[in-house]
Amino acid sequence: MLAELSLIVAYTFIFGSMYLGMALGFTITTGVLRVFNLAYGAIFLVAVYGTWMFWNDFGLGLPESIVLAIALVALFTYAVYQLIIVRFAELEDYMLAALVAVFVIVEEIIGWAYPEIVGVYVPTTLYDELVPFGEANVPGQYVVTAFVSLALLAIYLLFFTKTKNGFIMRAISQDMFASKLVGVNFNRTFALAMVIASIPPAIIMLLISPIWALNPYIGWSVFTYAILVAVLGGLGNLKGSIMAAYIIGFIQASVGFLLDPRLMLLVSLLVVMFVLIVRPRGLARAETIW
Amino acid sequence: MVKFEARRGRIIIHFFGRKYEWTIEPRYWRNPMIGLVLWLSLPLVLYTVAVVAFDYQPIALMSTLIFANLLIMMAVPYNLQTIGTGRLSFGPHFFLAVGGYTAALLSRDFGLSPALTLPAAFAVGALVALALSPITIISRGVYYVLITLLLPFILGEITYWRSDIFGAETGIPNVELLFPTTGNVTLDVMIFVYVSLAIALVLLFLVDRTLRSRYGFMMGVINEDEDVAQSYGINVRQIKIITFTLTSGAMAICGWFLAHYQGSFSGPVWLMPPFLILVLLTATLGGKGAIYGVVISAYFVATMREITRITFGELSVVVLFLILLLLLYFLREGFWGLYRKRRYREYEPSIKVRKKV
Repeated sequence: MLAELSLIVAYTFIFGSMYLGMALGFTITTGVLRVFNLAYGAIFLVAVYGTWMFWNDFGLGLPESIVLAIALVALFTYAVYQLIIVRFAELEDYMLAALVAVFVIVEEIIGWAYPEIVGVYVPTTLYDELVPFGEANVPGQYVVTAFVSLALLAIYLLFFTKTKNGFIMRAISQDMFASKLVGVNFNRTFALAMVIASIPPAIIMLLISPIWALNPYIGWSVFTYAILVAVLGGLGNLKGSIMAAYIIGFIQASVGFLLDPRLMLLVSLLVVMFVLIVRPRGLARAETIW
Repeated sequence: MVKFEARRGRIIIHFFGRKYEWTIEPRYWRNPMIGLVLWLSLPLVLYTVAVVAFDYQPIALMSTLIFANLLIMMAVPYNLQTIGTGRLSFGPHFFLAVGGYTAALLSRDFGLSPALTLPAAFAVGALVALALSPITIISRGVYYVLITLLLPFILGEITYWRSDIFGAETGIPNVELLFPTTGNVTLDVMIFVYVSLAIALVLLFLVDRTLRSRYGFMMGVINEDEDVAQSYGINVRQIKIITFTLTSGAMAICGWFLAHYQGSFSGPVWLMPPFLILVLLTATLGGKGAIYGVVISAYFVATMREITRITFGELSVVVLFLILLLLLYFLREGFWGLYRKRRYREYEPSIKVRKKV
């Protein structure tokens, strides 16, 4: 029982931190732009398969490939912003449909270029050993991913609380029209928010790719976690997302170790549905990003 | 006996003492009737052309027509749901799966005939929707989009969890076909084409009558502004719940048809996002709230899907979605918008004010 308890605590921290990293960018996009970026899931795929392309197909070194893949992710996000979000800004239904279509297009292109049989593997393992936690042992790469995720959160919080661009983004998230009145350059800030929001999911996906079985259709399942955290947290509120990430981490760890691992996602989905019905705007009202 | 008479602007036909008139100028033609005749004759014409001109048994072509009719069965109630609830749902395929599983399970495990599984599929779809209907009142905007987007994921997870009941990706086999096979595959497929067309037509007719009725106007007001609708004395909650429940039941009928058409039902196939996008794009490309536009866009989408499948193979989905995205990009008002621009007189009544000189 003590071992199970240790595992639940350890995996609540690991899953919670990891999901927080996955949802960080989504929360920023939703908080600043008030746009529900349904193409967000494609970022996970572009990051991992982009690295594989530069590393394996173009013969570049792994660090250069990772940098180029993250640049590719930023370029992709910028293109989505300019071509879809700006274009359909007034037509939300068109925008959402177009964003999902973009996601599926990326997924299918990757599935065509690198089918599962290719066996894509990016060696981004930073710590290969097991880490003891109470009575249990957890994979070191999971622990590294969790700490990198928390570090990313800290960097972004510093960005939002200490830099001019961070202030501008918070101002937009508080009151879009008032920020326009004081001369905020919307187009530039939105594009910047989209681009910086694409970096955390790319890094987290690269770190967990050696542990998770990669396939071209993994984007939806990873995106589902990001949606669950962002929605439960109150769409666009970082404090809410932090709470939500660890709640979902706890649910997943408890269900996985005490009930049935196959029920982990189902129970999380049901809990989020229930919370949304009781508290339609999530745990924290999305008044501002921080 | 039969006599033709040309009058100014019209042709009069005397047929055994009866008199029929046909207006020559196209803008006065009764478009719904022409559209209906064209629609009903399309499968037969295509079949005849394929067999006579090309000596080819067009089963793939007929399957494309069935898929187009499936898209209509989904997109027409979806349009009504969007208008009546004032919300954009991302979970229409959830109700398709509910209907499909209901029909498949009742047919396989209880031996019910398709005639009995039809009301059951509708009832279960409507009941599930009724249980979920409070979300149409509680949730707004992207929250509603998200909740409805999560529903298919939940059902998908349940099908994997209880794979002993739902069969996961394999699905539920041994579902009774809609009718006993005639022994001729082409004839069987043709019957399925007309059955699907009949269902699509009935749904189109019902939705059209609803939109033209008093309730249709109320739904329109709700779609524009719920607060205004409330101030007019419209029972917004009641209309939303009824609309959500009945249109979801109608979408479940699509699942019923699929189960009895394929002889099996596999939820994960239909719960995947690509099918959702096809339904959304069919509804959007038809023109906002334009149910007749949906017919055109459904046939267009299904045809493009088949053409890209043959031409581009593994990349077909990419090319198809790129084409549809481009259309979304440049055809803001959808296919019905093109028609309205040409025949604006019928839809935009204008008042001519004579100025005194």
